[in-house]
Amino acid sequence: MSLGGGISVPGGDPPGEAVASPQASVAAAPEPARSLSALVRAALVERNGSRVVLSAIAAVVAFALGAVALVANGISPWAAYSALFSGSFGSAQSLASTAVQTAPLLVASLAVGISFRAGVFNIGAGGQLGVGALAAGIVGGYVHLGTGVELLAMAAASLVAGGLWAAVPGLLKAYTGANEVITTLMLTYVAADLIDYAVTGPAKASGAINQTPQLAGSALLPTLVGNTQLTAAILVGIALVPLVWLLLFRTTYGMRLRMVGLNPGTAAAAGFSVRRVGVSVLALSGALAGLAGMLEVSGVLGSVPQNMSLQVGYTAIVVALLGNNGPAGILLASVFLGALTAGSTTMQSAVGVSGPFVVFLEGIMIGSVVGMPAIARGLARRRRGEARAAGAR
Amino acid sequence: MSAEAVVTSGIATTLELSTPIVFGGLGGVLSERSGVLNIALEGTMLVGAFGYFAGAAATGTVIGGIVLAVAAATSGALVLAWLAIHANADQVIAGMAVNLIASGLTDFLYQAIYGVSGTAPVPGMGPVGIPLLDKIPVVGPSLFDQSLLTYLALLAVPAVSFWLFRTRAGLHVLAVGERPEAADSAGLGVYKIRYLSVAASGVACGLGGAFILTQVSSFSSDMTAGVGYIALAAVIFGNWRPRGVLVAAVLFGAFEALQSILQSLGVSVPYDLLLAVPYLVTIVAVSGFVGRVRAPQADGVPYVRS
Repeated sequence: MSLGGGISVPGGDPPGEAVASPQASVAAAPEPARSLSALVRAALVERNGSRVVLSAIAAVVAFALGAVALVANGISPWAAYSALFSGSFGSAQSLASTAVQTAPLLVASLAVGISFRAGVFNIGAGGQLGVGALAAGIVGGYVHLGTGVELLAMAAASLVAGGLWAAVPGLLKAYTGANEVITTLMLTYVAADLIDYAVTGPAKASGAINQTPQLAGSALLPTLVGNTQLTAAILVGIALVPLVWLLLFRTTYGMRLRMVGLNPGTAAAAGFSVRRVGVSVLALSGALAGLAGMLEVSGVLGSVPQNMSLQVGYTAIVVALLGNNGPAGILLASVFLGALTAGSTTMQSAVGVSGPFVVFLEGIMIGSVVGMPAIARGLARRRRGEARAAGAR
Repeated sequence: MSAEAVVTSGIATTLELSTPIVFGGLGGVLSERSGVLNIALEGTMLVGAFGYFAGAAATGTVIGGIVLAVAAATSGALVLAWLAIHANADQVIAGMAVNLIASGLTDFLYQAIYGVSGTAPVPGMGPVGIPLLDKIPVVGPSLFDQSLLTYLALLAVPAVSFWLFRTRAGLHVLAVGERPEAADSAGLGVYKIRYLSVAASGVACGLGGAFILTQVSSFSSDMTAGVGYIALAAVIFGNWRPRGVLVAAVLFGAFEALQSILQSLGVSVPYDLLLAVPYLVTIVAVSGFVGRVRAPQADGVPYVRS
């Protein structure tokens, strides 16, 4: 049939996990001495290549389509992209703002990556981040403790809030079979409503503005470089990268988690409780996302506002996919997307378009990561078909 | 306000708030009944809203707006369809991709095209009374004095229901969404039916997005503001049935209407917590605490022809 002639996938590939599956990560490492075209081919057609290459191609596709959209609206892509670059890496100030944007994103993406590794689709990191931020904002705004202790209390509150928020879908999945995609997604909106309720009512600071009290002194993460917004949040994020790596690859729990992600049936046969791993992974993922919320409140925003943006939760999915759910890849990808977000402000003043354009690029990137292999395999098959036809003649 | 006025405005507001949920929900039913999980309803409706704005701004007519709304939303839905059907992409990720592209692109285009100069409001669609019926006390001004799109949404529910469960084409959609292998061996074009179903969901979302825009006559960033996710909730709460979607949409719309009426009467209610009710009841519904809902068996599963 005409439409169905398309894509065939090797039998072992479980449906529904074509790209997000952790299986991609166990593919053999690419041999060092290969040409660029071979690398591209491996990443797109043979599905055993490096994920870095696939992610890089996705970024190129996004910038190319972005350029088309810019030109179509009479904006010079060169002007736009050079402003984007100078706003993210061009000066010490822009580097600092890249780091500021990266910190919460990195932690939220590690949270998403851990859950994807276990085959659990936590797409509600935004909501967990939101309740974590709210908990940290309330503790920091109303409970006054000494230097250091205050920040620890805020971090603990955000971890617990995010962890409990995500444990609910975990328990529902384990005991009622409720799909975590739906429950985590719906809970993100509940979290947004809860934040608005809290900051307009019970947790509202005195004054006209609907927000939690402005954090001050010991409730703020220390600034690293004077005259910039750069706080210790980025250090927390960077410190978590090796910790998550150790957890995933050097502990029994991490091995169980990855086995459940690779093949729940085998994991169950080996005597692991898939249920328990599923619940604990969601709780862990939610706790980390909650911590990302604390970093955002204490390191960037200074208080929890009404209509707080939970977009980071969706960007974290993009980061986790580009970074192939591994800590190192996630670090790279979060710096990349953090830089785009930071640079978009400069792009705004240079060419008049900003944040939304970056969201558009993010969408193209994940669309490309999941869609490009199909295009490439289709082209490869057509070329083989033509070669056969030529040979037959 | 008199009691009569309260009831009248309550019913009218409920219907108004339910209309985009019904359109989005019908779109979700069509797509998911064919086996394509659709969390892109939000993005598709947003594209529809922008399409209406651009079309109505360019032509100065309501028809121009609706045509472009439907065309734009259908193209958005086809991106999801291609990723889900041909690229075998994970359908959750594919839906996220469409939502992000929709959110970014509509806002970017709005800034780029209209941002500097701004535009006058585009023609909207006011309520149209149905002659005679709108003279009936209470139900007249509430039920029979609505936007044409609201009447269309209400008529579409039995129409889609009949088509899906009582016609050959509709049963083909159901077969493809439940047992694609069997449907394929019976000679049905699984891919074609899924493409058409997702395209139809785009048409419905386009109308839903257009309705949202006709109520305010100007575009703003992410203006669907979660209605697409409420529509997804209505699909699930409504057990993947058009009539169930209508019940859920009216219920969800009534919660919001109730809040605004209580507020106008000076009763203080935790407004934001009431807004969370649709999401919470959906979580309860998928957890099977009140009569389990059941998704089409192949919902979200790419079909690979062997």
